[in-house]
Amino acid sequence: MERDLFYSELTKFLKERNPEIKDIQIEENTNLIQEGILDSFSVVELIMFIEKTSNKRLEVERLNSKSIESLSGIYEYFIKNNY
Amino acid sequence: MEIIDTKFIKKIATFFETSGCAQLSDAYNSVDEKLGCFQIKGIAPIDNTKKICGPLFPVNTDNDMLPCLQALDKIPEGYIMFLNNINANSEALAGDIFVTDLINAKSGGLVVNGAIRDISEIIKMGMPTFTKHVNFLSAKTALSKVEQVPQNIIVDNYLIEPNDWIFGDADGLLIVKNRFLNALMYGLQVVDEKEKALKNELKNGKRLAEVCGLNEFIFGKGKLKFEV
Repeated sequence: MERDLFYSELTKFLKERNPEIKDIQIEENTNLIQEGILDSFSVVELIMFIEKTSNKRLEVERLNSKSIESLSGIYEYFIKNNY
Repeated sequence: MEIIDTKFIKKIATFFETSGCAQLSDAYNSVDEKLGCFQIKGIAPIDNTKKICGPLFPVNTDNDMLPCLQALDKIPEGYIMFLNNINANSEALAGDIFVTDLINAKSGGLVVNGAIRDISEIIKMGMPTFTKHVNFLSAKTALSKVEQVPQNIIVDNYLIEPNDWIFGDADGLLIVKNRFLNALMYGLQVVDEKEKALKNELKNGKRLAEVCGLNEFIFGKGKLKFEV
């Protein structure tokens, strides 16, 4: 999947599930956790979104919370080469 | 049934070892139960220091030891035996002899929706064991075998299937559908990291209200920084 398309779909997903952030500009390197865009309660849903988008189950061996901190991190880690 | 690799089971156990059901609950909190997580109430550990974690090997019985023995004979390494007594007046489905062989089979633990006995001996054995009731009267072995083990069971109106995962500690028991497991482990790590950060701030003398942004929240000037 193209990077811009992924960013767009992920941003839409995040804003749909949390209306409080609908006016926040999410840049590719915005820290999703520190900015309160992604709380610990929604990480599981995010991972399921990534699994659905990449059509692959994420491996726990690659478990690393740094990888889900930003749009670019998620793309690089999970989508770019479809690991 | 596809057998889950013991290395993978141990990997998941290491994640759970440093956390617990409370943290798992926080991680799945916002997810609809239909997606694959639910709590089983009323079944408690016989030793509160023991945790249980692994894929499930469930079997139904009607106060009969035979299905339990069939399951004992087939359970793979690392799996958790789940004995579901459909009879409300459960006699003991497992005791120290049963658990001795469960240890021989390298099972990861025992969960009984019913009764067990020989509690003090089982505690000494160290096998993580959760049960709803205790009864010194043993169930008998009849000739009512089950056609297959493991099998689907229904507990508290929830369907539990072979290879679903179970997590348990003194706080309770949580069932997680296999397809949902990896996502939950990611969520668990984030919850753990946030809790560690919160605890560090408290240890350094900050008050909870300050760390959470309680006043800002009360006066509508911000979100709670931590849910506690």
